[in-house]
Amino acid sequence: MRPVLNRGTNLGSVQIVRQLVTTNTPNGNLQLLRSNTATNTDTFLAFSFPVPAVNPVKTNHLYLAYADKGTNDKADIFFVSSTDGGTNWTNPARVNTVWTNDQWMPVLAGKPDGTKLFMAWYDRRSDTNNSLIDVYGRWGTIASNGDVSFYTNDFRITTTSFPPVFVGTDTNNLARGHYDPVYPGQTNLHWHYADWPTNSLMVASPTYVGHVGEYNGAWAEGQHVYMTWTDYRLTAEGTDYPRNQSDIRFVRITWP
Amino acid sequence: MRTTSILVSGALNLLVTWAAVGQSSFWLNNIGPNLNAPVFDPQANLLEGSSYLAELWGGATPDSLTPVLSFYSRQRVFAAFLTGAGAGYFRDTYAGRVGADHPTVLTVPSFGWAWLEVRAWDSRLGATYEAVAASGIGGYGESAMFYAQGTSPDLLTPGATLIGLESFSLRPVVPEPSTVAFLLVALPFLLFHRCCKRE
Repeated sequence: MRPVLNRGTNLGSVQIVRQLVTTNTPNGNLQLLRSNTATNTDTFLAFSFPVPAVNPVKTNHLYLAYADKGTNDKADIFFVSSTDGGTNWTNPARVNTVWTNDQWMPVLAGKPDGTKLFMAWYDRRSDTNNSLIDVYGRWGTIASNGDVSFYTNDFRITTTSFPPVFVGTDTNNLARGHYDPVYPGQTNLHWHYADWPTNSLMVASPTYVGHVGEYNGAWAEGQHVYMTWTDYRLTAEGTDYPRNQSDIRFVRITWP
Repeated sequence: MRTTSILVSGALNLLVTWAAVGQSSFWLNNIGPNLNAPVFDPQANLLEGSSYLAELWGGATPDSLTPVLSFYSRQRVFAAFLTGAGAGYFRDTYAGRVGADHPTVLTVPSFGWAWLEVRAWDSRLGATYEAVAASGIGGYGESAMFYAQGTSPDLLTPGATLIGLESFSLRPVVPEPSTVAFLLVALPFLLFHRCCKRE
């Protein structure tokens, strides 16, 4: 983190908020598996990018959420806060109450009166095979001294679990009609794009094999929190084979 | 307002760093749009199977070629030759790496031009191109040098196709003389030597 002072005239020194546990590249990619039974190369991109928020009424009170390698799995959700403009930070608090299976992609929003926080994230706790995804959330209370305490329970936001959709190393995803032509994997695209060469040896680049839909977001006003996320519960219409599609879903939740 | 600036700056710095990582990236593959450069053995057969490997060498100048490393994991990238209809062609599948971990010429800026060469060898004769070349028995080869434009090793940009790569062949393998061959060559001299001694 680096402070921007005097409307950008001066830059403060760079400060490390927290050293991540993951050492994966690039960018702390958590390399989440399709499922616990998938081969160890069948992974999708999930980063540890920090999600910041500020307290609108308490000067210099900052909040940060991020995903990092967990104790029992590849990803958990963590929260740190500062009451001095980022000079000092609390130790990380693990926000997901279930510590098994993967939790990642946090979002964070504060109540405009500065008294509450909302966090939500992708969570695979409901699937023993650690594949199907839900969105879970948790409320936090901000004390007058700035201490943040989270409610005892987190709660499920999605009504239906959905699978991660990416090419990976699942060979079925290279068959015509099975894959998303936006993120195709190493397959010939002639059937989909007429200008693509017909030679079956000419295939798309492997660049996108680990891509899934990103990112999620949360915003708040005095009465409600609003959240959007990428969701794969529905199958695509008009394709040769059933395959799940990416949709953006939205929910409005009343502050407790 | 001040605190907002502080944190947004932190997040944006990370994203900008991510998007602006430099250096020029390629996809180690010899067939695609505007590219068809199969590789042959000395008898003009297409190289086939995972015993044959290809590697990209590159640099900012023609005399500075080194093995092109993957950008994030910084490892040498060897692509195996395909079989059947794919004989003669190699393709880096990024196995064990993320899809953007492209072979990248670190001494050339993003989307810059680099001097390149594809080198291929029979891995049964050695683990690397240099090892096989140093053995002096053949079984390796390299393309003509070419000058091509790369892309960026960010997560949204495919590595550049090796436009300008042309077909090439491996050098013939010259078998090392065996012990029996040495004996056959040396036998007349030994016999002659013994005869001379008796006389």
